[in-house]
Amino acid sequence: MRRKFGALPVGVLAVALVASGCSETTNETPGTGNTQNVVQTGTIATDPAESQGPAKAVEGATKGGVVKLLHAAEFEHLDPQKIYVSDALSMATQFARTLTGYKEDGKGNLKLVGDLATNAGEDVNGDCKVWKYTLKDGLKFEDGTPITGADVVYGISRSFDPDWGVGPTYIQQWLTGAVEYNTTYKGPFLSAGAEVPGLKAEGNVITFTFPTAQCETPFAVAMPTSAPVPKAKDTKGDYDRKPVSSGPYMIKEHAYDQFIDFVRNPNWDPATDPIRNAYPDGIRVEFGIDAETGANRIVADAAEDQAAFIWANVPAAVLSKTTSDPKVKERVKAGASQYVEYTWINTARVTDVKVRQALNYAVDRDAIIKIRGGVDQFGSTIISPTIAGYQNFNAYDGGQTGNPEKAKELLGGKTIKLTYAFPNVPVRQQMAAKAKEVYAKAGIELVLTPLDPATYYDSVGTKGNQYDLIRGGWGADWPSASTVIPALLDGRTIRDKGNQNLAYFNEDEVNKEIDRIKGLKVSEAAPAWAALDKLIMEKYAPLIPQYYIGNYEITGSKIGGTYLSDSYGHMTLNSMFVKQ
Amino acid sequence: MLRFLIKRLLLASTTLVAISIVTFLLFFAVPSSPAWVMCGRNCSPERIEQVEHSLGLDQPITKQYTDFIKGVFVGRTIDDAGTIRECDAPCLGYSFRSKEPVTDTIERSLPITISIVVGAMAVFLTVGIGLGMLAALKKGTVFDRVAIGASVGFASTQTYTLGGVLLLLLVYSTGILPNPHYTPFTENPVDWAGGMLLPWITLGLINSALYARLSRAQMIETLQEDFVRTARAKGLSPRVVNRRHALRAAITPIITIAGVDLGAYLGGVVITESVFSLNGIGREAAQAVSDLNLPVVMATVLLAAFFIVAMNIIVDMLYAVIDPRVRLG
Repeated sequence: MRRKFGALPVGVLAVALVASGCSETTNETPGTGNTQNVVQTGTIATDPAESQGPAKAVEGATKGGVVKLLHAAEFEHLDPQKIYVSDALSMATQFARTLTGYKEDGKGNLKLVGDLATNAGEDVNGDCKVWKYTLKDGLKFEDGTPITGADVVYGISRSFDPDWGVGPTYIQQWLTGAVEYNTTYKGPFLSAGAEVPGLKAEGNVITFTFPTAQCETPFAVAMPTSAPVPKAKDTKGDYDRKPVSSGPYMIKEHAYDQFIDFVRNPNWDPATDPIRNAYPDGIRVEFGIDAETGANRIVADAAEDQAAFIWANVPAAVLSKTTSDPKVKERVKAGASQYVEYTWINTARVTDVKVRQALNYAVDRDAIIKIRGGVDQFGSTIISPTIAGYQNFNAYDGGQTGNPEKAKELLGGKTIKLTYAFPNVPVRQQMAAKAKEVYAKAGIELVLTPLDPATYYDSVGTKGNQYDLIRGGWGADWPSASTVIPALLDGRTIRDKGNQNLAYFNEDEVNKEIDRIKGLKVSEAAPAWAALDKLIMEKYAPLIPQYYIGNYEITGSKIGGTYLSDSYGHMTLNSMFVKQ
Repeated sequence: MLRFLIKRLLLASTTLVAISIVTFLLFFAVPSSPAWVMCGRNCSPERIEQVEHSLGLDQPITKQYTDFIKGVFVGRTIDDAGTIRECDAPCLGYSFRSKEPVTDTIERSLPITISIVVGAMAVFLTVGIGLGMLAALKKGTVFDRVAIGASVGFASTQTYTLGGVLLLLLVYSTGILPNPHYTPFTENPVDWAGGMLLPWITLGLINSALYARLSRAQMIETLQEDFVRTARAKGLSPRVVNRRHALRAAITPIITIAGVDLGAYLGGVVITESVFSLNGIGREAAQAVSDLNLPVVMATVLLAAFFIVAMNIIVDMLYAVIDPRVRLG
């Protein structure tokens, strides 16, 4: 799973926006700035021409200037094989190119193309087991040395190191065919000289050989796991501070917790890059500026902040300023994200499906969305609208505010008492209090159990815990439900600690269907996942989808060309420019 | 004097050792592990063990503590996830988060805190003591009432309210002052002062109030002392009486408080640093606590303790210089 930068302390926002989560719907609700369309067209490019550079010019864009990211905290990681949080993923697009990448137009159209590779991937035998990638000509690291297949393989090999393991684990698990992927091969440091299982480089050609079909390989290699690392320049632990760039920008200076200055990488050739325009001369990231200060500064639009932007939602205290003044409002980028908020129902404890269904009928999503201020969207599905194949449905349609009567009917006059676990932070406390009030109407008593936010996931992720309802959320790693449903609801992944399946849900029917869909081609899999979403909700109801989490970011008046990326959620740097 | 100094230094080192032991024990009493924080939620028990091992947290506490102390005096070698790092004395360990010697973290963040504190102290000592003395001399006048009334007003505000209001008024709305930021003094002194102006004003206003009230009370008390009356009786001018005799005596307790304040502030002004988005030592410490980043917690706690202990010794020595009635022995 990908965590969202700053997801926990999301502030309460003051504007109400209620929109249906329909696909291909324009949500032009007043007061939300430039709300983007949600169109789930996460498709893989088939025409190699789409993978060729340079990137299509942005109308009116000019080169030069320095854009400035005002950021609350230092990136958790910059080492491409360790990156997994949305802010660093968005940043990495500028210094760590990957085999494939997302080409977007800002209108909701997202296409996966070859980035370092000449195309999005060749399924050699048509069975999704062998994938071939050929590197483009003219690719170079920041020091001018050419990027070869060996550098990509070396990069991937680093992700096997048992001491790391903080980045995505898809490729490693697929190559070894095992959840615990580093029992034999342990990366280039501990298993020096050994070959990465299933991975080969010959010149500029890289071949992945998986024991089972992995039809979503083109998506998986878009994550920074596949970023090339020059072995001669690998500083191991220190690489996290100053990785060698393969993208349009490289790190000139990095003062941890203070700032990073990115400057142009003279060895990046735009002719090889179909995705990035690289208009600014530099990117400066300043740390320690929380979302409220950042938003205030950007709203104020002083000369030094006119080319600044934030990768966090505008918090409550500043929100009214972004809606009242049209000049500020036009600088807001708002839209749906890949993240969905859930209330998990612990099926090991709440075994009666009727109770679970009643909980789904009675939920008042409208009230909960209002508590968060209204940038989120009504949602009753497990997968988000940004995911390919998404189908909007509400298996327990109680209208916008829920139907407690219907819930009572299902409970057949019984009164039920359930514990509800949530991180003990102000906004979650308010939401829990509202849930308690709402469920009381249906004869369900919630016992609120606030938990220490720092250890929250340890507590609720422990099998056999004493919580009936559990707050949770999830974001897809790429626009496919394969990074949502199997991660969350495959019962065979349940372990003693560190669970992500917080419903502790384990049904043979669902597990088998997961296996079947995983073997399908991407285009066939998309509708199948959506159908499985519906089946799980209708038949088992192991969770209560609450809402689709919205993004609401802002830029200074001199920034142009950017939009909320459908790949990583934040405003993209690919086409951003400074207005001259 | 020398005997006094040696005695105090010994006591100071004992204090620091005691604090380091208590911090260490408290850290291990917390029912969580930094490995959990670092590993995130997608984490198996095996991963936790690996992370704990790579951080050296699976060693006995006594071994970890002696390693730490050894590092401070003679340096040590740290095995960080297979990367062997030489950490020269004074080695305060490697930060779990930034993967650098903690001394580097301090080197980067301490100058920011020092910049805030030194400037703010200059503001509040000058304004505070000046106002207090004047108010004492003009006791009962309109000036006295206004100055002391205003001081009560400012003393009852907090950095996060006054700072927020000033940010809104002077930066976001009018742009009179630049955004608070840190530029090294050696790089550009004017920009350094410009970026620090708002924290100085805020901390200065709030604290000068306390110093004004304190120095007023001290001065009034001193002015009633016998030696002041004697000085007046000798026919000295009021100016000489006030400056050479009364002020010198009145300022002693103020110096004590200012010294201890300086020591405490240098350990980190967390709220001021947060309000003005300056990543000084205080925010590093707060972050380290929430990350359970032991080496940084240890270092910042010890540093804060060191400043307080050191300032206490310095203040005691200053007494002798300022007030001839005090003799060290």
